[in-house]
Amino acid sequence: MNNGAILEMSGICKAFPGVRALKDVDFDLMPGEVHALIGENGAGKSTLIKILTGVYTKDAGEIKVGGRRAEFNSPRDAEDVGISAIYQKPNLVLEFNGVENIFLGDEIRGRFGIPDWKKMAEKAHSLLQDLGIQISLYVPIHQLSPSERQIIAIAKALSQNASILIMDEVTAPLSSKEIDSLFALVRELKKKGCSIIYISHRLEEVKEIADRNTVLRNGKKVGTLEAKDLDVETLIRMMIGEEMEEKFFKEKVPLGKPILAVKGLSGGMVKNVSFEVRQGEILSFTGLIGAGKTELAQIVFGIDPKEKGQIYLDGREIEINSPRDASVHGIYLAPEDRMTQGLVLDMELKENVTLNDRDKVANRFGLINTRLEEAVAREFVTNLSIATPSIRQKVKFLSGGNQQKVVLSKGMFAESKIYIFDEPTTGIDIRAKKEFYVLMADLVKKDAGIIFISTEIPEVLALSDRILVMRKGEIHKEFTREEATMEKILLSSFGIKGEE
Amino acid sequence: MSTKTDDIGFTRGLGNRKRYLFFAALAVIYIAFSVFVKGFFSWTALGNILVEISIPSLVSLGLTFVIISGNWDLSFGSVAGIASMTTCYVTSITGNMFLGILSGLMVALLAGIVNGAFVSYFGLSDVIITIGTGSIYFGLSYLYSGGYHIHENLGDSFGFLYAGSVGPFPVPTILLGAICLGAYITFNRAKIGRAFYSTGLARTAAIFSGVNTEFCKMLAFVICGLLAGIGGILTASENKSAWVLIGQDYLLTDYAIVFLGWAIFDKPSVIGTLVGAFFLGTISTGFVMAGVPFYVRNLGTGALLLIAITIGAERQES
Amino acid sequence: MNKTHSGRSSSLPDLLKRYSGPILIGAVFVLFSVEAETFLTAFNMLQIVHHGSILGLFSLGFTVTVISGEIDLSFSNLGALIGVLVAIFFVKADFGVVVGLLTATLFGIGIGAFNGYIIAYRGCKSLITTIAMSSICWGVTFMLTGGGDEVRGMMPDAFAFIGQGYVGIVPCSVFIFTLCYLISFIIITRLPFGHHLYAIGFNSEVARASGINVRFLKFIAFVISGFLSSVAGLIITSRLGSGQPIVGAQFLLEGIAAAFFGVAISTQDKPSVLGTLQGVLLLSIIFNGVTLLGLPLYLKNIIQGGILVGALVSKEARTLVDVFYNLKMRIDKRHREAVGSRS
Repeated sequence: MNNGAILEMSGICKAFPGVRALKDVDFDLMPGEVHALIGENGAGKSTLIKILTGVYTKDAGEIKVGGRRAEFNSPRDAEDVGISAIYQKPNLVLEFNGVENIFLGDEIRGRFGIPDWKKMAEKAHSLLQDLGIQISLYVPIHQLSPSERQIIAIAKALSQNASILIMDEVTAPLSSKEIDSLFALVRELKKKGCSIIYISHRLEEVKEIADRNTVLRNGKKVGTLEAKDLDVETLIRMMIGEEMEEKFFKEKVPLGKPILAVKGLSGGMVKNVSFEVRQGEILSFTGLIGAGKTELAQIVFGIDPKEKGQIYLDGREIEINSPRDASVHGIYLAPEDRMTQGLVLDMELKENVTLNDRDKVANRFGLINTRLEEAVAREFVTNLSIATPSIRQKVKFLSGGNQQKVVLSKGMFAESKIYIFDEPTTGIDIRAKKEFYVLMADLVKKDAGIIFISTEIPEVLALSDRILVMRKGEIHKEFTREEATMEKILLSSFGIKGEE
Repeated sequence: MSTKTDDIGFTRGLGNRKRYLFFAALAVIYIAFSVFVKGFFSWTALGNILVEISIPSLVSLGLTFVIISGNWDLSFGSVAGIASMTTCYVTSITGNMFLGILSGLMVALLAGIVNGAFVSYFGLSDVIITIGTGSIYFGLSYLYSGGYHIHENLGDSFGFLYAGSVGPFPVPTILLGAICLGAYITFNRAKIGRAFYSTGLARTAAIFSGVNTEFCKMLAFVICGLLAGIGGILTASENKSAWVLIGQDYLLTDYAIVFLGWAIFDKPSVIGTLVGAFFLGTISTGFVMAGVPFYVRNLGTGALLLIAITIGAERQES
Repeated sequence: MNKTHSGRSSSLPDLLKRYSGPILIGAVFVLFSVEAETFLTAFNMLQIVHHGSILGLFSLGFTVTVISGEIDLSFSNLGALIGVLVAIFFVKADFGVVVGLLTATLFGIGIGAFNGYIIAYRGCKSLITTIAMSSICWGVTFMLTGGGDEVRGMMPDAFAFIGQGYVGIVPCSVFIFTLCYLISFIIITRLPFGHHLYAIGFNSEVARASGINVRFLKFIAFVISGFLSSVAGLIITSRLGSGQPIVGAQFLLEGIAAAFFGVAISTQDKPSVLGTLQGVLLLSIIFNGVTLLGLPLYLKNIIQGGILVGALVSKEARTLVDVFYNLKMRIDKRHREAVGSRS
């Protein structure tokens, strides 16, 4: 029953332990169209894409490419049928130059099988000219800016004559001029019959470039809209859903004095950020991917260097040059990537919990009091309802939600005053998420302050006392909980100052 | 880009079985030697094993520190050499054994500090740097006597370090015991032990947790150098002389010891190193008693290391 | 941002770096010419090139593995084993020339393949694996020679030609060495194999995602190393006229130092055939000069070790001031590398 679609996905299901990522999702792509895939974080977009590129295998459902059934067991399978993907972080060898990267693995051979670099350089040049972009193709790409690297990655996908191109948040590091050029290229590709699946949080872009839009929510397809039917309100409604499931709201806690104050903080992409966090307060940072939220957190926590500005703790100015400094001052960061940054996977639960502040369970000789440590660990397991066979279990065997609870325990054990949570609920099922929200709310009842970083606007709305929207390394707008709505936040995220 | 994260592997069962396999193999080997080699099944032989592994265990413990913190040291053999030469040289010209030992230890300490500085603070490749520094230390050790053995004027009590006993315990065993205890406590009970392990297992997470990973790595190299130096001095004491080749054979043996322990216990550890040492010592003593030439012993050690790697490495794959 | 058509910039430090190989080689050459009387003789030059040919073959194989992101420490003992093996073939087993050479070389390739299999397909760490294999080779060598004696006897003339004969005015060993380098140069810099090998060494994940067969190429890298080491071993035996078990150790440090010298002088901080060649030249001259001057043997160890350490340090710090000043920034930089900055 091929209606001319170049790609048909029907009834796709995929589950991970504890999380059902995709439920019965349909998606199709017509030749020469740009079909946008939209949804909140965790809605299932990247899972769907990973199935399409052969990184994951689907549990159920059917995929047809060009009318013929296709099975993807590896990335090569997907490539062979002309599916190519570009991601936010380009898949490139930094030490090679542009030409070498574009043709990596698919070099144009001349006589005797020797790569014909001249021909490749010509082709690369023409590819870039189509993009209307000037980039030096002969320097190692670590000398290029991130946006230029992204363009090389796009050129690479194009050079492989992909008929189905997936663009996953590729515009995050690009300037508006570069985005315009990219879209011009996209339109060229459409004319040549290339079809594009476009994933982006940025609704303005989606509006501009997409022919159709499919919205996913919680692993299910909510609906597909033609471009002409697309407007922001409809989209937002589709993304967040009409039903207000048991809405979780953080209790109003009397706010105490400011614990952390930051003035004029700059470093890397972060520019001139100022804010303060008070006792009992949950301050949220939200915004699009690449807005600079994690970068800000890493400066406050001492991982990245601060170039300008001051940090004050309890009114006194402090210097934070390393995570150790931050910990000593009572600042704790639960990093975005909990598996490589937040936990030592091969160590036991109790060892991870006490890692930040081993002095607390050690006697004056520097030896750890095992009994004390185990008691501490057990207490956290009970209070936080961590599901684990024992406190000696290696944390790599715990589920995502429980791992996150261990990360939380680490910070609580160090009796931190300021908790910075960077996307703490990614990859966690609903039940665990709700448990986590409760735990966060409890924390602030005990006079701590929380900086909560998330791109999931619903949870931001539910938990925060105040919301700061970041954009391109700066704070764009501030909302109190009362005045914030999803629409206002989204608008602010892409730089549109609302009316009023 | 993440790859399949679908499953959380439950391979613990498999791990335990392999551990029993090793102990079974040890038992089989012990029995085989007892059957085929006269005199092996005796307290004397067992005592020989323990004596023979005392120095290698000691030095291997130092190496274990480096491996746990995620690095490699290929120079420790040469550190042992130059420490022993220093000790004997100073002893023979000053007539003061304690001064000699002190100098040797200081040289070993310095060597460890140099290694550690290059690797942890300069961030250079540990493998290449220690190959380089190892050769430099080796060459430098010739300076004392132009390569000749140093055995004059060491004093009668110099041999005591190795051959003497305090009560029923030989001095090296006491030293080994003390160091073992210290190492065990460090890794299993002391807070710095967690720092070492996390630096090696997950350096990024360790940094995020406020662990001073540079310091840990540096300390590991220093301890390794120091213990290697002690080992070298003991060897010199055993032979009542020092020569430049002391320590050159440490590399293979001690890596085999540490990796055997790693393969058996899923991670580098004090217990693992001791077990590995005993394993290797059993085979080595058995070979010696059977009159097997030294090169076959080396071959055996190499083969054992290879086996340990292939079996251990399978479990490292994630 | 520099928009140049070639990747080469012409600032002074980079120029110096690009020519630092020839500069250093020339400097050392001049130094020894002045200090040692017999340095500039034809005979002595021959010594240098003979040593260099053998060292060069060892170091080249090593370089190939380093390019792929691994390390092969077994090359010198492997070469020694093959050298002894071929001597046994000729002396004890009376093989013909061709059969003997082929068999011995096959053994070397086989051991290299074994290394490659364990490392590439079983995922074992190359450092410790090749250390183990190195000692196994050593043990076997000594076993075959009954404890380290040399294997003396009548060897076929054709075989002796390899190490002692001339092709025109060029010693055969140099001829072989040049051939190998030429072929390797072409393969590494011109053919996809070399290019992909570099990709694997730089970022094996991206290489895999681009469809490069990472495991197979790494495997081949070790086979190549095994092959080249075997050839080196054959030349040694041919030159000496007997199989010597202990020559292995001598070339290990030198071979590694030569390769990393090549890395240090490369403008892009990567291992290369040309870089290793320069390292081989430099080290051969130094080895020869030190011997000629009657300087003690251990000085070679110190110098070679020093070159190795110096090569690495030179990448990080140009001057001592740089060292101390930037220590903190370097720690920060490595923190951020470990943490993986998001930009």
